[in-house]
Amino acid sequence: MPGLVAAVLVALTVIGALCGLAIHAGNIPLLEQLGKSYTWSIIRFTFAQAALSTLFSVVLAVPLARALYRRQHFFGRELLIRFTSISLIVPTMVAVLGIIAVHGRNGWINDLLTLIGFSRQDYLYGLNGILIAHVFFNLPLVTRLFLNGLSDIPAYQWKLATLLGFNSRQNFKLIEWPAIRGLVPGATGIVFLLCFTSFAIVLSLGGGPGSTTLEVAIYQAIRFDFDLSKAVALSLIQIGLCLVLAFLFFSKQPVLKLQSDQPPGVDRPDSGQVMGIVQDNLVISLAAIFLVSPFAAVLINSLSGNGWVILADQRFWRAFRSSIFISLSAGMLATILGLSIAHLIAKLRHNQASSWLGTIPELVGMLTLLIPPITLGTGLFLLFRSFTDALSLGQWLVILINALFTLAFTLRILVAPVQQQHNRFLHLSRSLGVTGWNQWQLVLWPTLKKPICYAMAVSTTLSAGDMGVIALFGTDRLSTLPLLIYRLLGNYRLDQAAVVAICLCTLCLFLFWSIEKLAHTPAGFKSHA
Amino acid sequence: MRFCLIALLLISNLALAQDKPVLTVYTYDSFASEWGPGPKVEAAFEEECECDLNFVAVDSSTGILSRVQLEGEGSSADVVLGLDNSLVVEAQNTGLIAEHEVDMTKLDLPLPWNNQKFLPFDFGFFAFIYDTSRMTSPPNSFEKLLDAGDNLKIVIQDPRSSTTGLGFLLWVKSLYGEDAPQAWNRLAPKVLTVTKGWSEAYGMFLEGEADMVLSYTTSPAYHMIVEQESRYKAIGFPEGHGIQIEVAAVLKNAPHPELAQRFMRFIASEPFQTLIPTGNWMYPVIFPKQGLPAEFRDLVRPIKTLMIDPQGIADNKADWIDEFNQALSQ
Amino acid sequence: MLELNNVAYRYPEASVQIDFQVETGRAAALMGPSGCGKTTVLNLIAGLLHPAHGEIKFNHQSLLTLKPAERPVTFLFQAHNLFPHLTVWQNLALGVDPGLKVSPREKQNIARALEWISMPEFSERFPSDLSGGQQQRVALARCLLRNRPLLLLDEPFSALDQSLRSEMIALIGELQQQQSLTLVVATHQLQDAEALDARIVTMEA
Repeated sequence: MPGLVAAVLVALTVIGALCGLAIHAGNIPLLEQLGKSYTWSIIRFTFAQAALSTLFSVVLAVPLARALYRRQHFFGRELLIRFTSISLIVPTMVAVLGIIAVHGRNGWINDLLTLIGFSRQDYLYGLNGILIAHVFFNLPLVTRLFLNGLSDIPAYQWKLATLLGFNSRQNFKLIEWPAIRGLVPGATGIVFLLCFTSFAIVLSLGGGPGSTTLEVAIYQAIRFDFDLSKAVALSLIQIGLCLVLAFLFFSKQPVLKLQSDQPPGVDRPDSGQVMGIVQDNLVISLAAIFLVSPFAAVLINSLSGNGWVILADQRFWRAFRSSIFISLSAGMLATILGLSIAHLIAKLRHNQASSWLGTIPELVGMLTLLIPPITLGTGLFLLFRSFTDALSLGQWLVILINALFTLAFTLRILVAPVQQQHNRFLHLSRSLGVTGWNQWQLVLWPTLKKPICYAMAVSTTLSAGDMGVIALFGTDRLSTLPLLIYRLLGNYRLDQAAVVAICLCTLCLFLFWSIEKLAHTPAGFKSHA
Repeated sequence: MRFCLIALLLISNLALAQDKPVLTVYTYDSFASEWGPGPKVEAAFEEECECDLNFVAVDSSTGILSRVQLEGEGSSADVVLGLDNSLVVEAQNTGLIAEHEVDMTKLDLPLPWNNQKFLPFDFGFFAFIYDTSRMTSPPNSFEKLLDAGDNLKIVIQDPRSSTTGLGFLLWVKSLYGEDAPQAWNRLAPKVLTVTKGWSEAYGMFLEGEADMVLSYTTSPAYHMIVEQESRYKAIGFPEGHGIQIEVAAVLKNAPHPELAQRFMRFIASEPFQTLIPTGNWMYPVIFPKQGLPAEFRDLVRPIKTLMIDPQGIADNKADWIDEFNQALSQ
Repeated sequence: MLELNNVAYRYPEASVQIDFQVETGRAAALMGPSGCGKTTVLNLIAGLLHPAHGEIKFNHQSLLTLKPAERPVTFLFQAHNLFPHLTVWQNLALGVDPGLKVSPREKQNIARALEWISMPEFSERFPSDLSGGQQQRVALARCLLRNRPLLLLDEPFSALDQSLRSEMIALIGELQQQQSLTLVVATHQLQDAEALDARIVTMEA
């Protein structure tokens, strides 16, 4: 029963961490924290920034998805659509760096403003910066969801629209909006939750006393004051609010299709209208500029400055090595946990009577999304600190927590195919007596290698770009590339940070590509037999 | 094949055994960095101790303390280097700090120091730095700074994460006491941003993003000595300047207590102290025989030195930071 | 009179050629094996496809320059004539105005159309609440409201059982009489053609 073991392990880790923290904290001044006006201003800000980020992401995604749907042929369309499907795994710090390079006081926009005679504007730090970064990450995600919805519009509806003579506005009101409408609650929910728990972005672009979210306040309570009681109290507030939000949105979770698939072409009555063409091209160009310029800025800064000296620095190579080690280990662990739990779910669901039991392990997998990684990391560190030295413990915890946090994604990817495979082959392999290693080699791997490799590629890449708990345990000895970017930003060495960012992107692309490739080489496994 | 690769990766990460004893010193980023005094200190100490000196750099001074607290009695640190007078009582209250054996009577400090657990290794005075090529008449007193127009932009550091920021908070507190909230309110519109650490703030200032930055009276010496550039100046305020005394301490559960004590003696010795003025850009606690570099003579020397009693800081820090947060988050 | 003169449409793999005429107020049935291009011909008349060459005229006026919605045509498909997310009433009102702006007089017309198909109580229901036969009747009622002289039918009864089929045929006959419609029906059932009193146009694959 590896599935049960995995599910129990995950649950125990989470509960253990919370208990560990609570014991060390002694008392938990929940009411005292709730009585402070500063706590409430943090809660208010957390909600406000999440609500505004969600609003902008969802509202702007509508015209963008529509334009991408209506314009089936233009240069770079495929690239842009592919980007919408991978925006979630872009390393946060790379995007933050790019956004600073474009929107900062010395960024491109300000260069442009001075060129046409305006004075430099400071609009990046604080709420604006957080919003820009959140929209940067979530606009593509929501656009993707909406575009999937639009692509599902059956062709006959467009035929009817043509025959009945709908104009562009009526097309939207009567056909496109109804196709999108059903996705709005789910998209809103997932974006709100992502922004609500956002950490690295708020830490780098907000983080001052005026723009602090709960997640960052927890980090600050531990890192600045080492006030565990306060950290636990804030964590409880955060978990409680997340639970309420998750409960509100859980039933409406949209299906996340991360793979890029091309929507089929449609004949619609308004695709030739000049107004529409102008409007769509404007929307697409603006979105493309907004989404691509940060990467372009990072690339140009890395090439033009003398940031390459960082490559001669041993801090870089230490971080590079840890990044590979941590991300691969976390990716493997997440995939193994995900696969085991997916099997448990499939087994439980197979027995119709206990199908509701199948949702429990799935909930366990989602559990980790609700708990701040910093809290989890601190709790586990306090539990295990007497067993080993701090440096290696920190490293193992970063791996474990990254694995737990990408578990939700691997489960998403693995549950459906495992279930399908289970239903199709379980009885057959049982009747043939194929079990254990043979079952894995002959039945499971060949039929599941694609989703398994995809899950591992996603979780490894996510871990490589993560900048969560490492912010807590990181020193110059234990560092990853995202943390190095953060620290170089802290030292105002933007050119070196840009070089590290390019290296991190290259590493992520390589990891993703090579792990996904594993599924295409079936010979490797047979030769072991 | 693939699994061999992965196994290799796992093995490659295991630490190799060391024969020499390793002295682990937790410090802050800029001390250990290549442009800081860290590498030279390491080389000088390793020459005489037959050991390996291992600096572990945490991103800030407050980070050192929380790091030690997080690791508790199992910490692998022998010595912490880089706490300051605003953090000593808090650090002492953790119960993790041991006494050191250095005789502190020979130290040249502008104020008496009588905390037996913490050894001062340098000191400096907080001050605002400006660029003479961009600003001709900066506000020349604290009052004038608070009264300056809102188009004057300054960068300061977060008192929660940065000892410079905390030092500034204490400076304001010792000048304005109960009226500090009003002072913060007057200052707030001029604050371009509150950075997490000194490096970021100073970097922003050098890039021309702000008119003035909170730093030390000794900062111009760096530009004069390293860059032969004399346009950056500190501003002397007649009301007085806050002082920062940076300290080191031995941990109770240090894995190598004797080596740690030896390092403490090294800190209070000539070889370490000569590295301070042009390495950490602060005043050494032992006045060098050949004197300070000539450029230090041109620096602003405060008329009045302000320091709040460490116990008072520990008792009130949280409330004072709340005051600051309230004013700055509006 | 509807005239298709020497009309051709080319697919990458095959091509469809047709030449036939129907008198105004009469019916024609396109018959032939599946894949012979019956639906293609209807799409050409409706303007959903454009012919490679040839001329399509109705009452001596070329249709080729007109957009699909401007042609004197309504189209009844085998299924999927209704928007699933709109109510029966809204689906009908689309036949009057795609903006769903309906004058009181047109409202009466819609109510009358609902009565004509004996479904007055269904106006606020959604298509998914209706049976296949009911859905087709609603679609037919929209044809009534659109009031175009040319009605194209693509296998309109093939999804319906015998009794519903004769019911629909009766309704279409009524409609044809009322509005003196010209019908073109694509079917592979001879009895449908006969029931609509249609002239048979045979097509070959």
